[in-house]
Amino acid sequence: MNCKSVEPLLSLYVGRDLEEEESRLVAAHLQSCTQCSLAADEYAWAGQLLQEYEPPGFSDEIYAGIREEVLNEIQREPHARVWSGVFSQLVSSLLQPRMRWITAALLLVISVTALYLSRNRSRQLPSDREIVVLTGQPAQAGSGTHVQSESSNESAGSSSFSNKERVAIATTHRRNTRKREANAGVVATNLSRELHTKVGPLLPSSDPAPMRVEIQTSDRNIRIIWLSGQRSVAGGSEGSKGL
Amino acid sequence: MSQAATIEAHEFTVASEKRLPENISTQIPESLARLIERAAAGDMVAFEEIMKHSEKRVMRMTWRMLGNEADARDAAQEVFLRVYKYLGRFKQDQPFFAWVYQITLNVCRDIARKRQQYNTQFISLDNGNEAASVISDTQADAEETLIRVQERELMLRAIATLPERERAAILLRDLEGFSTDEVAHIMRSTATTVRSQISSARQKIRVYCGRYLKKREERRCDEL
Repeated sequence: MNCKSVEPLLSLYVGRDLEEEESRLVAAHLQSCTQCSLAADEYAWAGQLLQEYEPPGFSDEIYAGIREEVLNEIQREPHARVWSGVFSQLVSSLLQPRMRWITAALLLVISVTALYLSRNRSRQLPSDREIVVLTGQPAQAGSGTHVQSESSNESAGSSSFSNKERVAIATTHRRNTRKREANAGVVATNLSRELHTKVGPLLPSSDPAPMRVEIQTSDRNIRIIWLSGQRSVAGGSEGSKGL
Repeated sequence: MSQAATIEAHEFTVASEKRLPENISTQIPESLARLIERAAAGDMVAFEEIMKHSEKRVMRMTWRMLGNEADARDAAQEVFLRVYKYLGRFKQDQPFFAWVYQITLNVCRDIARKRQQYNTQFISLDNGNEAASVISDTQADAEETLIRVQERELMLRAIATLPERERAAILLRDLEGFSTDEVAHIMRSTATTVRSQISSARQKIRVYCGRYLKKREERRCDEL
């Protein structure tokens, strides 16, 4: 063995932590190498110093005090310590190297389940603003197609509805709730105007049937009903609004 | 130093290191086993006996790990509280004191983390008091005892520089007298890792003490 290979083994050699064969080889090297031998001396000296690292003698009163405090503490809160002990034991056992994979798998399952449930819940939640537009003759309102759109109500209204059909437009916006609520009525009003402009030209001028548009805002207590047709008063507006 | 002297020095180290304490035994004495059973069933007298049986080892280890009496006392109390709490789970086929040392190391680690000022607090006042009492000895012995105190303080500082795991490994191996395998069991590690930690700790202590030795020699040369 040379110095380079012996050097890292010296501390273990001095502490008798080497296998017999290795120890024999190091001892043989030390007999022929002054430098390594001096290093081994230093280890030996440091080892002797370490043996001096003894605590001061503690008196019997100190030990008695510790025992008394421990016994008092045990009698004071037995239940709380048991539960905290169970919890800490559970956590520590889950963090043990053998259990790490199981812990990781558990966490993964829990997070995936939570994500799945939260997504499902958000789908099942009622839309923030639901506007139902009923067009056509009031008597035939029930017999039409039902269209739902998640895009803006204006685009859905312009592309999906037709005369004498029932159009339901549901929009979901997840922006500022206050802003949404404040704007809800305005949007509904705008929609009714747009519906009016879109639906109006489609109606045959000779069609005697009146048109009725109902707009349900996010507030269930507020429904905008817009009527149009021959019943309109001459010189007045074509429709009326009711809340 | 001659080769023969070198070998002698090594032999001396080995001899002193062979001063293994009684805690190595892996078999629990029957009396202790009975005490453990009774204490686990809630017998406080039995538990007090167990404390008496192990308090010196626990205090010694906590002091060595934490470096001062106040922390060592706090740690010892917490160790016994945890021993009581988990006594029901202790399996009698494993060495009792190794189990107690496991708890002791955990408690010392927790306390050291709580204090945050671990390294600054490590140099204890205990040594200062002892130094003062030593200095009051006869004048002839004063210099020698002062050197001894200085060397002890040096070792205290050297150990304080070690990372927690290395400190625990070298204290258990070289001072508490556990074998490398037992240290690995206590530290929930492998023998190879422990051997590496012990080797690293010894090297650091040697370098630290070597620096001190050099300074001391230089100072002596200056005085002459």
